[in-house]
Amino acid sequence: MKKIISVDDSRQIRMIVRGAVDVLGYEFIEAVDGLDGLRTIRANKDDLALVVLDVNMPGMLGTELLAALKGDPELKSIPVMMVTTESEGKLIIESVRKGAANYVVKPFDQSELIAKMVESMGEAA
Amino acid sequence: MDTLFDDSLVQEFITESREHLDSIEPDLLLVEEQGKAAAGEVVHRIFRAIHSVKGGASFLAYDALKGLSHKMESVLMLIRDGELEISAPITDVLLRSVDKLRLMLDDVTASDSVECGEESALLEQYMNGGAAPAAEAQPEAAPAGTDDRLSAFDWQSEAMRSLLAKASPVYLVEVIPAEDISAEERTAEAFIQNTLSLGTPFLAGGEELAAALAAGKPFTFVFGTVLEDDLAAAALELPEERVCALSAETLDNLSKSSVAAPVAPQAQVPQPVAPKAETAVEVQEIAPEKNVAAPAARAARVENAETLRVRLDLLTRLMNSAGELVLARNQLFKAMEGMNDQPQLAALLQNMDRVTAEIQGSVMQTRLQPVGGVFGKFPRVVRDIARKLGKEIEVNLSGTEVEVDRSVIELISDPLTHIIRNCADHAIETPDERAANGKPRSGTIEIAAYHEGGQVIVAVIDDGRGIDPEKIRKSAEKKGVITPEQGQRMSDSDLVNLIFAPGFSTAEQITDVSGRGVGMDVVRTNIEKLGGSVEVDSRIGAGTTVFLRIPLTLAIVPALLAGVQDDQFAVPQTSVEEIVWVRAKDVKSQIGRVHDKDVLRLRNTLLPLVRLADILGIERTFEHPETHEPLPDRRARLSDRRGGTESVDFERRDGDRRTNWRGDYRIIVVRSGRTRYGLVVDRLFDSEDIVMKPLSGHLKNVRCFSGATITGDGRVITVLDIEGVAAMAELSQNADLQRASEDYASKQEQTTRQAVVLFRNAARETFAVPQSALLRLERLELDTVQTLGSEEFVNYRGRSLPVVRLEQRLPVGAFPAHLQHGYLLVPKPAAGAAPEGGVLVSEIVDAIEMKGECEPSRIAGPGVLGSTVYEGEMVTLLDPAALVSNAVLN
Repeated sequence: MKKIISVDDSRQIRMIVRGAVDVLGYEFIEAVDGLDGLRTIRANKDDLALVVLDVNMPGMLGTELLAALKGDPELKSIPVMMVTTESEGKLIIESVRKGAANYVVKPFDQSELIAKMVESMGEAA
Repeated sequence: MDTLFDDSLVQEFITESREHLDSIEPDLLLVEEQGKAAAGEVVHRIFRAIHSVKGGASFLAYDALKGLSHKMESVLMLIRDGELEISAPITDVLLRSVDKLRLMLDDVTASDSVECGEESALLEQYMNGGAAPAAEAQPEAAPAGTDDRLSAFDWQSEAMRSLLAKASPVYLVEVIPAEDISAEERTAEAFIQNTLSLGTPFLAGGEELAAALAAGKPFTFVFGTVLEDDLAAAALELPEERVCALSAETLDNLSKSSVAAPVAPQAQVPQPVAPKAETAVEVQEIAPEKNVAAPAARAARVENAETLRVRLDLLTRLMNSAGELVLARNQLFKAMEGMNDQPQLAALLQNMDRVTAEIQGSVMQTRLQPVGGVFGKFPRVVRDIARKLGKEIEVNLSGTEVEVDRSVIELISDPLTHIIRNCADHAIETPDERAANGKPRSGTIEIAAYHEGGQVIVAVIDDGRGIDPEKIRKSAEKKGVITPEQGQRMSDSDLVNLIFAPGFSTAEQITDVSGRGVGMDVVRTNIEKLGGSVEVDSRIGAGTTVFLRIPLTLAIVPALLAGVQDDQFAVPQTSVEEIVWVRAKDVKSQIGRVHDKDVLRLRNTLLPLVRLADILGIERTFEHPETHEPLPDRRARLSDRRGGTESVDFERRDGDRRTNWRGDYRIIVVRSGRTRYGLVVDRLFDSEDIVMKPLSGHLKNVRCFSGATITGDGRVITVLDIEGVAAMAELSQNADLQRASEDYASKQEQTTRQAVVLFRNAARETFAVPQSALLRLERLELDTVQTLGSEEFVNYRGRSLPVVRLEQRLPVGAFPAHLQHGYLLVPKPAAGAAPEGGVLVSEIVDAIEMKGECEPSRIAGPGVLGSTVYEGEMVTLLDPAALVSNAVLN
């Protein structure tokens, strides 16, 4: 089964993403920070359909992880969707520049999240 | 919907929302206080916090929470947009709404049943009372000629179709190269790259961006990107009005429009203003802010994100393990003692020691929280009281970053709240009263935290009316807290501290704010329970300061290990003030008895002594200093004196000097709160970090122990409870001792003891001169004394100094003829003058302290001050300056 990973330091967001992933019928995996995310993404690179990435995390920023993913020939094709807040406009723009497929602004509800996720995956397909 | 999520998500929401609400409160007060000056950014912050709460609530379908937070948000938006000016009533409503939200969060499943109609109604009133809702959303005029420009594109081309197939927003972008590219000092190439990195541009006629730019003329392109609204303009670095979103409807119509009509007729092009109107409503609802507007908020967010939630029980377990590790290390060290033949082992041990210390420190830190968390709620508490009582009170917080253990934070919160309520209620006067006393109308309460000696001090300082010790005394006597006799003897400071006595309240009127007569004693009990203490310092009219002395942590504490016979005990280092070793020869002078209790004379105070052995019912022993074997100590009293004395008397009795080592005492001077005494022990060991473990149930009620621990050598030892030991020794009830101590202290102040030099001239005649009257005291070889006529001189620092023999001036015995040397006392001359002469004496006996009082002497002569008795010998006190000045005059 294809997997979707949520890389987020907020457990609440990870749980919400998990709900959406369940609805979409993918396997859910998660990571709590950028480095953990990079490791987990590498380990699952062949099965990953989407990375749902928090733009702003302690340690490695989401945008930094994004840059790392897009700079890696083996990982750059995995679509990445950023989880952001409205105050993070600069990071949103930066993410899109760096190759994020899409982004979603907190707070969001499940239908919005699912729509954005489908959109993000569609872009790569 | 919430069935989708497990409880932990709800918990997460509750925790996060509580944090948001906690952050809102001080911000609201700040806005109220600073008015418009602070408004912008702070209102943003409040807005965002409440917005997050609303977001979570709506996601989890808590309607009441969502409804109320939404209304708060709307009012805040009006404030933010300057359409409503914040005022105390608005702050009131918002604060009350915050309280309601808290209430809802307390039992979130029943949150819908929390009554918040009043708050809602008030909020709505403000929402309607504010200027016409921005929701009117005046559709912005679309760039002129949009219609025409839209028609220029080939909406049916494959590229355009694939662009439109995605649900992402599509924009119509207008570029004026002269303004947007050249004037902005960027190259066309950079603009192209940026645009391509953000999405897909589609130019009329399939033209390339580069070609359009090269032409230098204004042009438009359709731009597909995932970026929404103003972000698209910001990302393209174009003015907002140049980037116009096309609504789904517009695009739908465009793509469906007739194949045959690449140049669409006017009528078929829907108004591009429609999407704008739609987004405008959105704008009002979510109010996206300008990206540059809130750098501070961004910073705060980043700061918050640097944390990770960890379950408390996990931390506690980690803490315990770290504690065990410390113990294990200590045991290992003890076991390795004396094994010096393995040098590499020492290095390993050292490394382990270092790492263990690091782990311990880090684990401790994980549990540390800034006291600011507790302080944060006080401005609100004070504000509410002030408003209720018509007072003006300013709250200053300092040291909010000082960190203490989480458990300590929890335990100080209530006592501190009580103190601050008291402060606002009783201490701070009404504005009129303050003005009448020449004080600023607005009172100040300062709450400060700082480190002092391994503890944290939290001080609550007000500039209110202060506490009247006289009033306290009367009230305490009336309530039977103290007897009138006690009241008379107590110092002002002690009287003021009576507010912590059980069943004491100074409030003349009981108010609903504070002062129900319980409280301050509970404050003290609670603080002392966690190993801290409370003290109050007050000056009438000027204000009161309450000091809370609290430990940093409750788990690992440095302790002094002491032994009685074979048993070891730990005394928390924070309770240890000093250690006094009383040598056997000083026992007589330093240890006395007052009303059947032993006391130590420590500088200017009398310190009650408690023999730990007696308290614990252990046979008194002392340790042989060479064999280290414990021997029974049969002295009934520490001062080893027969018969009780009614007053304090430290003078030595003749012929009873004990120089025996058996008489040495090791005394730990301990303090807990206002209890201070000397603990007499047999042996003292190192200071060690100990991990406090609770006592097992059947030992819980033993007052003198507060816990147990395992020492480095693996023994289980108990930790002494300083207050408990004092209680068992019945120290606190010993008013006689307290009186004696005070009497002693005041007597000490009156009868200044002075340092004197004891000397002899002829054998068996002892004299004394005050040390303060001497310039120098030196040994003098008699053959260096020169004579001129009947006068004698010595060479003193390059000049001749007259020498006076004592027997020349006074009717006393002569300098022994057989001596080849003596001592020269050089008196201190008047300021700036050279010494006038020196006094030759035969022997220096001692330098001691003795009473300044003396009786008239039996001899008369120049410089005789009087006589006194020291160790059974008569001592004549002399003024050396008078001796020599007379000599010179003669």
